[in-house]
Amino acid sequence: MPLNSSVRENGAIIVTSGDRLTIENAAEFSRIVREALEASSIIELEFDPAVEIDITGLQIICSACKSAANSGKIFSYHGQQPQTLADIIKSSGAERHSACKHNNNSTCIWFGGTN
Amino acid sequence: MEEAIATYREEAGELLAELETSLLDLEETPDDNDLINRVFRAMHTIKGSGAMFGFDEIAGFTHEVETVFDMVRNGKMTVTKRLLDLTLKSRDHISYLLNIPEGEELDRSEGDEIIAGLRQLVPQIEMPQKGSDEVPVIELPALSEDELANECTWRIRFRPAHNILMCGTNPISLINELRGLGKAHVVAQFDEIPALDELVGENCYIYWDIILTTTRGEDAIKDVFIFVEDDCDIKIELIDRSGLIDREEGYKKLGYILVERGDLSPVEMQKVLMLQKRFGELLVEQGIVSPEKVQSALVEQQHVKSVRKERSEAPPQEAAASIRVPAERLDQLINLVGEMVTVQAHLSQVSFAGGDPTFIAISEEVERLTNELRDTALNIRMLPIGSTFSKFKRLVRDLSSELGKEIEMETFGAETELDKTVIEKLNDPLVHIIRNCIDHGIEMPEVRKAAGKSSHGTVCLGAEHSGDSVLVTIRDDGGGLDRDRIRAKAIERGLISATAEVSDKEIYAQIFAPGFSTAEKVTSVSGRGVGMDVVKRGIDGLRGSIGVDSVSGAGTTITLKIPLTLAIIDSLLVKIGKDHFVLPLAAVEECVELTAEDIKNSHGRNLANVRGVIIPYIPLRQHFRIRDQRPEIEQIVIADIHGTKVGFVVDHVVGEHQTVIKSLGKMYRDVKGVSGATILGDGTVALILDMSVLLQSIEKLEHAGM
Amino acid sequence: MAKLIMTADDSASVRQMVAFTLKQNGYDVVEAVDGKDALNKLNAQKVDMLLTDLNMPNMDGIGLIKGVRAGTLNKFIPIVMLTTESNDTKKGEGKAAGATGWIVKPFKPEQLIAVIKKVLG
Repeated sequence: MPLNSSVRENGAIIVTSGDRLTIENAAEFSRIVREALEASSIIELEFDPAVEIDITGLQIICSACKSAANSGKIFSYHGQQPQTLADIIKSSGAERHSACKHNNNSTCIWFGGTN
Repeated sequence: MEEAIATYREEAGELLAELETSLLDLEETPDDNDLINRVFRAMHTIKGSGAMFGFDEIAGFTHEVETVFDMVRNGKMTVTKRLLDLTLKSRDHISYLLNIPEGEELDRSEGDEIIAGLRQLVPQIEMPQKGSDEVPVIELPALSEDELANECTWRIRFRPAHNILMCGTNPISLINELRGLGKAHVVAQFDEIPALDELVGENCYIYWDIILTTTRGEDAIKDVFIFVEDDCDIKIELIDRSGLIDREEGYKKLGYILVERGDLSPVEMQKVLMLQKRFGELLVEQGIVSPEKVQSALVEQQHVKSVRKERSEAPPQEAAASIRVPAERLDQLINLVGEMVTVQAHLSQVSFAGGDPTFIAISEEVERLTNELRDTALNIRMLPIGSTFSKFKRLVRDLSSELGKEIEMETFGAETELDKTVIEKLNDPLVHIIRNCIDHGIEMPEVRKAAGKSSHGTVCLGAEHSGDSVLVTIRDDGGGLDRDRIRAKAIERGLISATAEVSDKEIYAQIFAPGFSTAEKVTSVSGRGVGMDVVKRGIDGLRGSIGVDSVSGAGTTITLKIPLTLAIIDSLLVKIGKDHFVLPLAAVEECVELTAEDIKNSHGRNLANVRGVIIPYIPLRQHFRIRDQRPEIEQIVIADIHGTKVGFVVDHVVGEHQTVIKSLGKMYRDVKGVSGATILGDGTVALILDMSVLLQSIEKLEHAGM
Repeated sequence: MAKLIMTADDSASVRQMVAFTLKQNGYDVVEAVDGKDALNKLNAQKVDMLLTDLNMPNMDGIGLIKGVRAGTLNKFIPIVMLTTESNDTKKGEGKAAGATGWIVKPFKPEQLIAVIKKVLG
């Protein structure tokens, strides 16, 4: 599924990653997520298992998480986090095991690992 | 590359023609800046490309002429008749240098004269030294002794310019480069990432704190950032070094780290210290420092603590833990120990013959010490085999790309130790085996895919200990040996008989016969049939053995069994008539008696019945044509040679013996069945028997007899 | 998959040398004879990296870099400029236009590969 968004019955918006969340489509990715956050209070990102992710992708995820928290909305993911996301989190030194103030002071669901 | 050099010659030729025209025009209009620039650019290009294509002479010479024209270009000199004459001559000289035939002696006199002439034109300015052609490129930093001794820990804060990603830089590859320098902890900071409505997707907002412990100096770290240093904020600070003498236990308190980094002021630190809670938590609670920054500082604390711990656990004087000794001194030591072992054997003999208990006790003590000395001395020469392995990685890479195959190399047991000489002598055989794996073993990617395998082939090279030997294994996951083709080829070459029932092992062993190749096409890598017999000879020379195992479609495994050392071996000393012989003990299994009756019962077929098993034997007395009377009862030394049991008939078994191997002189190099000699305690010489060669020669006789 | 690198240079010998070195090190190569040729090819084909000379006829290296960064298909690729200028003006101009890094001619094959590895990661 290409990078896009769709509304579910319960009003949540699913954003599908497509094959890349990289600088080439960073502007589009951030626009889609921003518009989704404006339209709904639950936004879930659904990853293609082989999605290519770079720094810009990471930044947009973090930024979306902050924006959602600021307006009391939920930015989360649907299904599984892909290995490629885990890889770039590791190589960029982005692992977080501490609480995030934007995330209700819980461990970051993106960079904190699953436990 | 040849092609590129030819093109360079052509281009340079064109540039020289252009240069000539410009110079002649310049004679008419000496003030024409356009022409002067054209001359300069032509020289510059000839020089620059010349250096790249290995025309160092041209680059060096042209550089000097160019320097003069640079002055003309900058108005520091004027164009004169003399200058133009010299420059035209330079053009001719460059042309001569460019087209000098291979192998012809270079004539520098003309060039030197021109340069001397040019220098006279600019006496006031010092010309740079000839050949000092500056190549201002990123130097690959070398490790200096100083740096090696000094392991330092650095704190690096790398704050990229916002547009860094748009300029094609990937910060992660820079960070990976830092990781390559030593031990690194990387913490990405997210606090500057804005909310979505302010975010520019292509900007880089993340910045990094990296704690790096490395023996490479600050320059190596700066080199990583060479392309971005002008537009990124990079702070590199030394925070710990191994040379520090009176350092405290552990590492700085968290608060001090934050203050040093400028993330917290000393006043704030004091304020918080008043409260009695965990400092980091307090800072976060108070909202003074973000949790990310605290975490990053904690990472630094942890990193340095662990580096210091490692250091204190290491032996205090690591530098003195090993010393370098010239290899020949070690060889000398081994030789002396060898002599010592020989003399000690003599001493034991004499003491036992004398029967004096005190003397015997001393002699036994000397024997014990000598054995320890021998083991220690041999140990000194042991080196890990890994150094050879890494060379083969390169070989695999180069050859596979040449042949268009995709091959990876895996290794194991790189730490396995072997005698230095053995490792050196293993090199050639391994090269041939690995070449063979690549050329014949691993299939082309398409073929592999069609066979349901991954397109990547693997060659696995490993070493492990096995008793007093080391097993070196070379395994590929290629197509395996073609049993039928090898058999057919071996029959064609008369190596085995067409009717003989031969085991797979024996058939596979044929690939080591001289000139044997089943390759239909001779490639640059292999196929000429020289090669595998080199392996055989090489391994025989090491007193090792070769095993081949292959599964059609799944790959081939070649196992080399190599003795740990070449200098001294445990052996069995035997006697035939008045002569002593030595058999390597590793292969010896047992000794049994052979009576005249046994010989009669076997009807002259040289077969012994050992507890129901029929074992062929070689009467060494006949083999070496020793004429003395044969004793009533002889001894059969039964040995296991590559899985075949065979007996060697001797008169007496004297006993175990420490054999210091001496090579035979050139004269005896071709004597079959003897691999060397040793000197016994009483000074007599005993020949060391090469059991596998003896076995082969007997087998050949039998084949011929049939 | 092997990475595809474009070498843009008006000197055939430099192009050949660069292409030879890159191929030996497992990269695929596409050649362009000047800035215009390079930009045309880059508008039609995705590559992983661009190596460009600065002094070229029909559009110099700086123009090419600006063109690539203003385009779409290869907008964000790493660009390394080959420069003979030892002064920093050209280098700065190239960086400002969007170059990722540089290598100063003359260079040896291993220096070229070191820079490419650095930039391509």
